[in-house]
Amino acid sequence: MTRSSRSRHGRVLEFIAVSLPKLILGVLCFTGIAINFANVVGRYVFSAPIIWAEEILVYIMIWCVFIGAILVTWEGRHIKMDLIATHIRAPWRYIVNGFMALAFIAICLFVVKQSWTLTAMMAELDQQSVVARLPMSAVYAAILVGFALMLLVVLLRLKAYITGDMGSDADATAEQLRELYGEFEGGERNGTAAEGPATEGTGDRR
Amino acid sequence: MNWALGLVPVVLMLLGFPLFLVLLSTAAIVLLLFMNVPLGAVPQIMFSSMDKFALLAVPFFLFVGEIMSVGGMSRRIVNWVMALIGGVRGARGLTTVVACTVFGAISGSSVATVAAVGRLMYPSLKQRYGDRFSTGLISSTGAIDILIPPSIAMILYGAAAEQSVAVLFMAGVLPGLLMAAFMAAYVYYYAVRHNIQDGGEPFHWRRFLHATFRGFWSLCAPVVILGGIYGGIFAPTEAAGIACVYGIVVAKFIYRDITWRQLWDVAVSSMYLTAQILIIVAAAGVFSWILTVNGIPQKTVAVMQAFIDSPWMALVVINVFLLIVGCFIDPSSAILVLTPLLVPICRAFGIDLIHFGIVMTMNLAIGMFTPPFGLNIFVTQALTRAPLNSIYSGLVPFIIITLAALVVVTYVPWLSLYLTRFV
Repeated sequence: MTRSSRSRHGRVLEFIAVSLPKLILGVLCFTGIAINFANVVGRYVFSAPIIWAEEILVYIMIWCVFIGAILVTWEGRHIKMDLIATHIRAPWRYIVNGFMALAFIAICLFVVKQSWTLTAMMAELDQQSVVARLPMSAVYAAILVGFALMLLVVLLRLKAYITGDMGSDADATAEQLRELYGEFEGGERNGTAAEGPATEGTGDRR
Repeated sequence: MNWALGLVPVVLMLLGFPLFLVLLSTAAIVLLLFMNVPLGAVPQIMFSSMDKFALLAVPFFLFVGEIMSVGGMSRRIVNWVMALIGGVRGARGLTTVVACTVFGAISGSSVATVAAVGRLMYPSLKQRYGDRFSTGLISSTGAIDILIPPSIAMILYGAAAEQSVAVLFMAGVLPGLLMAAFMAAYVYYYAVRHNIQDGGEPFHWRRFLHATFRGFWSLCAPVVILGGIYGGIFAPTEAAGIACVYGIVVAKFIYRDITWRQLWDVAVSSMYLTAQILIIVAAAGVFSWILTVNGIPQKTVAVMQAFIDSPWMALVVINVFLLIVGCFIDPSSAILVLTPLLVPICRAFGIDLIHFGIVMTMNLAIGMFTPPFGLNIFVTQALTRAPLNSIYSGLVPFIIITLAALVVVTYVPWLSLYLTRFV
């Protein structure tokens, strides 16, 4: 995914699509945990709950979903059923993938347009959330920002989307799991010395 | 228009479109071609289908599952179970089942459970039982986790069917234990039948107390989570948030198992998983709104009622349908898309919606390890690198066992509903 020879332009875009969302997700995650904890402690220990907590937590989650979706789009990891699709042969596969990218772009444009109208309307009417008095336009903007940046990301990675360069879900999941947990044979208990070669070469790896 | 609503999503899904895109594309086609409503409703519905406090438990429980499986909490649970039942025939096989059950009471995600428990048990299982049985066992036990609360699938069902998540959690306990018992019985039978040299280590109080002491904080986690909910202290969402803090404190400060870097990665990756699941919540909200506005659920009910006259038969048909769906789609997506269609059918046949939620969850949990497509199979394959064919054949007995458990849970509603009286 990281190509060192990328232009500065490319690196800026990658920052917007990958590093920045990751940073925001991490910060919002811990913020959410902290607000929830403070609320529970406030309620049950001091009988003074934070009244705006539930509302704000939900809005944080909604922002997280659409920010996260940008990252998911960059890596081509939206949940899908690609069992049959991965078996489609070469020319047809590109046609199907191209069709999919086209639909992706069209839907992003559609949602961006509609959510722009909605967000602008909320701003104009100066709608506020019930408890925290947050401008609703700031909350609805999550959808607008999310889909606008998803559109940008799909366009940026159009080639990868059409060639299917991002690999199948199964491979990506496998890679991620190995990073997080290591392989089973490396288990800490009851050493593996007697078990012969660790890998049985399934030939299923790229 | 009905053909568009039925055919378009199936075709797009088979072509490998991301699921949220399938739902939104179908909605857009129907809206633009056949309906005359303001399109601004689309983002509004996306927003309102996510604007639910109950859904907040999803990111929190995902975080808890990840932090407990990355840190050494799972190892301590496995050691504790082993110290407890090491003397029984088939001890390591049984430990896998029991540890998954205990871990299920902490984690809401079956992938984390399979990875965490499987990683610890696989080497010793493989030595004694061979590759086929071991991979089959590891892939299938993760399903117990989905039924034992907390459970992401039940939170999503609760949000989609407008049922209480706390009640659903309670309802899942006995069916989850039943599934674990069925699996344990099979493991025991297999060990005896094939004379597997596993177990027979004498029980030592010293060893057991030592393991209990070492694993104390891990073993307390289910008490904090479930005790908090059923003691009437916390709402499920609050309990999830508290469990996050508990997990951070135990993994980072008491056991010192994880680095700051890992903690940060857990946060980012649990939010990533949240985004993958909840964007489908938003899209499914729009899709089911289109279905409802066009009266599709009622039409489905009418068709069902024309052919079927008892709740018994309705459950057979729904179960078979869900088993087929479950072979291809993950539980979360299936629940989000199908609940709005199936709930009206259940209402029409007088099936309790809590009971149905458990049947649906259990059914789709089995789908997580039925070939060809099952996330738990992928996880096992990714981590053991065992050939797919051997995993498939190892899974067959476990699929039969869990289907038997599903039949029992489907036709004995008491199992799901008994404990809910006490909520």
